[in-house]
Amino acid sequence: MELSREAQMVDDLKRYFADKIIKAEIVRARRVNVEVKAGAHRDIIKFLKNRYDIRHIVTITGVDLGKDIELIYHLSPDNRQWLLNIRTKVPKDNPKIETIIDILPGAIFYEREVNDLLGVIFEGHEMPKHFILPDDWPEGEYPLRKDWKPKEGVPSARV
Amino acid sequence: MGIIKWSRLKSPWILYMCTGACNACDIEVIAALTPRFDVERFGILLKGSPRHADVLVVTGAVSRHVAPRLKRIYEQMPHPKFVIAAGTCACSGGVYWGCYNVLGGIDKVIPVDIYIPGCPVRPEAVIDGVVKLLMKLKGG
Amino acid sequence: MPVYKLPIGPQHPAIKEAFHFTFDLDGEVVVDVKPRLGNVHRGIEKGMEFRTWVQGIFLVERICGICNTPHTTCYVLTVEELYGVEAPPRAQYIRTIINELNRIHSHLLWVGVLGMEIGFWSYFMYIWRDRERVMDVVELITGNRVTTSAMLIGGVAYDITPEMEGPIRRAMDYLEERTKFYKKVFETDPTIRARTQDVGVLPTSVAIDLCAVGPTARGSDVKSDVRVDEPYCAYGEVPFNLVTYPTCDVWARAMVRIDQF
Repeated sequence: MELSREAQMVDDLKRYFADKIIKAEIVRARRVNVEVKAGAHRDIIKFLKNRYDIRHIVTITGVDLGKDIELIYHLSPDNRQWLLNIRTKVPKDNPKIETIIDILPGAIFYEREVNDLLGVIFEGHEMPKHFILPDDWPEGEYPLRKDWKPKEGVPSARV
Repeated sequence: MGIIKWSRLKSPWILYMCTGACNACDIEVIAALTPRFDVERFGILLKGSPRHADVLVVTGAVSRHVAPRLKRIYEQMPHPKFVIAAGTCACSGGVYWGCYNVLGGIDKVIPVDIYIPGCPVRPEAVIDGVVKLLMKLKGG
Repeated sequence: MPVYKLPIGPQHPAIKEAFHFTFDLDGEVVVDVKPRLGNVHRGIEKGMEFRTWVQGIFLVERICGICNTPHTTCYVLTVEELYGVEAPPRAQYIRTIINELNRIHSHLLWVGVLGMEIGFWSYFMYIWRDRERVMDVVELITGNRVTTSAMLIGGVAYDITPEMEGPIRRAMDYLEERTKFYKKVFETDPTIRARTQDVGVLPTSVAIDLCAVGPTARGSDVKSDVRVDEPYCAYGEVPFNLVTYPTCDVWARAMVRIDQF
């Protein structure tokens, strides 16, 4: 039986990166989720770019999970046949991860945004101070972290 | 009334600034200049520099980054000058209550003469607001 | 020759939003540009944490007022997938119609503003006068001109009744006539061609590397349209053309939008 492109990709990932992948599965049509160990995302993204033409990055999502920050790289091949989500975690007290802008130049803005709003440091990406926050924003305050509250107090959802 | 006041009433020149808005009010204010609504029949012209303008039309909930620039533009306009706040966000912050980085209403930065509510503001309401400003000037 | 730095700041007569660029000019050629973003950053993502699911629809709509329907459609489809519900077929079709009306008005706006920025004020005034017909149709269906709040979780808020069919068809026929005229002007007018052809060239390989999407990518000959790649609402059942242009300049990007009418 001929495997679909997505199934072939999942097979290849499990075969070549068996020690680095925690989970890889096809969730529904056009959605593939892969969970990788810390530090493994660069090799996997480079492999996928060369082998499967996955060069389009949709965005990078950062999720504050309490003790860790999870980064999800949303990638798609050139013919946009499916959407691939690569998840990896960094600890919140030392949020450093290697950059991918040499592999996928389109990720520059997304890494800067995650750095500005969540405080994740991308090693190898020299970025100027603030991307979208104003110049007089205090140091060390990352608005999208769940424990950050605005100074004026938290409004309740008025119904 | 003197000739200066008469000429100011017959042809107020406006300067338009967007301070962190979603752009719906912006396109409705620009639509007020287009042939269907045609605010130019009141002698209103859209000018490029704050030094040439009498009236400043501002839209948008003021974000922290743009607030000092708004103040600088206001200070660059020569006296007498008037400010119209177009849209609910410019009047009071609008739908962005509770969002950090939004100061909420331009009257926290500069004094305002006319408030035009609406989300987005209708072009007919913009014309109404401008006419009310002219009546206010005429009255004294 | 020394490079001249030109700041185009938050207030400028040609711009409708508050962006901030510093252009490095060598004569009339732009050599480099430094953007400073953040004027429009309002903290919406954090603001959604304090709101209920339904209040979120109205906040998401105001991310951008010109293209408000794609933002609400995306939000509503995501919430529906999380809940595991699907909107009924009639609602999907009405969502498609409202999205397409939004596309038409947005492209007309863009082409008109392009005319305004190169100084062609009559083109701008003509196009925006005709754009009012689209706003009339949207007002007929939903009651508001721009931010319509027509999407709800699980369906739509407004119905299209048989009485609305006549005015909608008349407006579309009129617009089809007028857009043929605007396309002819754009293709043949020598000033527009001199100002937009071979200006702002984005080569195909750079567009793919930097992950361009939408008309920007299609103007550089990249075949990608989310309505074809991942059909949502009723787009899987409605035929339409995928338009690309090979010349990769400003003219190509404008022609993609005009052809998409």
